[in-house]
Amino acid sequence: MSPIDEFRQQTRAWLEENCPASQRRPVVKDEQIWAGRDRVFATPDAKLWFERMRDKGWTAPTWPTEYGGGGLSSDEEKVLEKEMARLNCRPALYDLGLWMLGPALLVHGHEAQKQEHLSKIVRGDIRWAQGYSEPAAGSDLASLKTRAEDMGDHFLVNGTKIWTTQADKADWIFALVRTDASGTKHQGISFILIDMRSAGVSTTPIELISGESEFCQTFFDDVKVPRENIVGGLDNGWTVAKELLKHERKLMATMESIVQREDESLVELAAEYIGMDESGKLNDSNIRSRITDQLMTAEALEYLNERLFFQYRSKQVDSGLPLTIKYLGTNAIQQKDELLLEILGNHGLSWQEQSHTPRERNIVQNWAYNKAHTIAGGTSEIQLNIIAKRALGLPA
Amino acid sequence: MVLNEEQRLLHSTIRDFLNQRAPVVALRELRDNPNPQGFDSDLWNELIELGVSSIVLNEENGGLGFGWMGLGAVMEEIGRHLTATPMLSSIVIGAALIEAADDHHSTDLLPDVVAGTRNLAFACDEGLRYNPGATSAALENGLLQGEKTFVINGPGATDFLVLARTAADSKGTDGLSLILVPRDAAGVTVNRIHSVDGHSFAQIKFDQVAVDNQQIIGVPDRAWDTVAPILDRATLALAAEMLGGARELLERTLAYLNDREQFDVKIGSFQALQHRCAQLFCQLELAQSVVYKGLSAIDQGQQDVAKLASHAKVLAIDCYQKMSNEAVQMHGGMGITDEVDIGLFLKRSRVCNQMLGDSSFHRERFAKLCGY
Repeated sequence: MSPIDEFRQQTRAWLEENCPASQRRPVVKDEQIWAGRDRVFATPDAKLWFERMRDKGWTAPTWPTEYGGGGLSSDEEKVLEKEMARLNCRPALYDLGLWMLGPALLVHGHEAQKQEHLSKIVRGDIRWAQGYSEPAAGSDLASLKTRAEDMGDHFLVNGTKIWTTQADKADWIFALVRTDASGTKHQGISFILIDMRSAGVSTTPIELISGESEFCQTFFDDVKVPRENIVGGLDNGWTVAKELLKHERKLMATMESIVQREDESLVELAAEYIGMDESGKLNDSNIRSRITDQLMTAEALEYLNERLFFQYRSKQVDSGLPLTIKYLGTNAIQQKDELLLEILGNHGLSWQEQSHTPRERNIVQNWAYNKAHTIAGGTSEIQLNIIAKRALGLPA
Repeated sequence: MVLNEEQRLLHSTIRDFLNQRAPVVALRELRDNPNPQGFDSDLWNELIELGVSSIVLNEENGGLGFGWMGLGAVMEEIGRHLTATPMLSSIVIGAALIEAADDHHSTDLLPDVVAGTRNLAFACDEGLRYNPGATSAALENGLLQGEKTFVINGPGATDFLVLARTAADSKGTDGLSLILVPRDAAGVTVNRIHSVDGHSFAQIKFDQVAVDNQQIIGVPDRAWDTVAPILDRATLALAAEMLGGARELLERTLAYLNDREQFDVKIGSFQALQHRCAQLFCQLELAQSVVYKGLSAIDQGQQDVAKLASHAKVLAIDCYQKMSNEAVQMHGGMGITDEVDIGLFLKRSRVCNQMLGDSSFHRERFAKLCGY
């Protein structure tokens, strides 16, 4: 048996043995296991599952074992993902540190920073927020104005960040700040790590069209940050940020599988709300046809991701291909949301708890919330600009 | 889902060869000065020397082991160069049907087909569009009666593989047989169709054509069991060809946008055009991923690729159609002239749409296979 087949067999056996049955169903929002000092588990099974995965380093399967990661190769990671998908295992940990900061630290962090932060991320001890956008710096992110003034042994941070996801629950934030205002706007930006418990940090939740408040505005008022918390060198933050944005875009595109609360099947929902005729066809031919559109896009995206994986593995990456994922993936999610809503008919329109089933409310909330996907992490329009210039070579 | 080293070499060999030997101007020549068979025999023989006719055969029949991903690379180049060849009809469908039937035709006929000395055309369509389940051509008492149309490579074929009803009172794709009919058999009339894309198809009448049992390929009355998987593979190959055409159009359009100036700047600097090109690129890579998924599934031994084939054809149709419309539009006035090649791709895309099933056919089939 080849080493990878052996790994597959062992992994399968370990998951069968260690993943509790309750953790093998699509995850609902309240049962997601988010990192943090004040981490709470919805059920004892969730705690058990998290701890077992953490102890194996499989919350961060490919990170080096010296930082608590699983030390797996990308092929082994693929096997782990497939085996987890086979059993419908829930993700064992949710955290922006895990998805975004960690990969950037592995590339740009000092040894001391890796030692300090990576194992805490793997162990889910710290919940991270991201501080990029500002009220006046959205798509034009590099025009950001939050200042970090060099005070010798520390920096003094002043300004505000917006769309900081669940910053009111976060322990630390990684942020882009201006350390030098004299050059072009892409210069003089630094990537800095800030403890949210520092004096002068405050957050205000923002109410969204979905009725939720996932995002906050975060204010920094004379916040002292130690000098060693700069990542990737002073004034070099844009390089780090670009690295990290790649991870965010990948994440946004695969949001459906990673943080989707409950994965609705269009066909099942339509069969229930619209019904089928005696030949097994959905009763609404127009919706049936648009379900075909959506399924074809969604499944094609899986194949595109798979193709990209094989390209990475054989070191033949078409440089334009990864750039398509965020644009295509977020559109596909919204296309699905629109159909789900439409299938519900007028049940998709009431807003009071009592006239909704939890499932219906979930669909409506997701429909409204997921409008964020084509905006956050680089709008679709910005993605198309990037594709036009970098993949297609069109002039600036 | 990526080409291996041998497949990449095959790909670049075919690309270089067609660039040199048969750029798009070769299709113009064929269109403006048609020959009887509808393709350039010398070109086809040279392609056969490069091995294209034995790419996906089993090894005992002289197969080269490049697999379906390798075949896809060849089809992509055929699509990029708009090359008129019997590749799809005689090899991807014809030779594969003979091989799959695994009877005396494998020794009597297959070597000649692979060598290019005989040419096969699969005679299936009867009405306005592809619908094998509605086959009405029938063999009764040893006589074949019926009419086929839009037969790919019909004018250049030496023999036809005719899908006909042989079981009395059968319906749909049950009760069909595949019958080998020589072009010069008594009662066969071939009318050439010059299609809008400069390629050649045929309308064929079979009037009381005498057929003996030796001419039945594979299992009588059960042809569809063998034919359907072959057509799924051919559909994937056709989708690969279509995306080759779409990719060529995107590259030509980008070159034009990087060259043409208006308002004192390259028109490619306009965001309205940039975004449309970027969207086309995304659509192309999405469709390409389905084609590769299907081709590599065959290479990995997956027997049933019906759903992937329909999926690939639908996305290839949407992509090539959109790409060709946008390419015409972005070339401006030049786009509607016959002087540039864009219009040839536009026309080819619509012809490909109808071959082996249009968008409605494959969308319906996909939905059924998914159970809704």
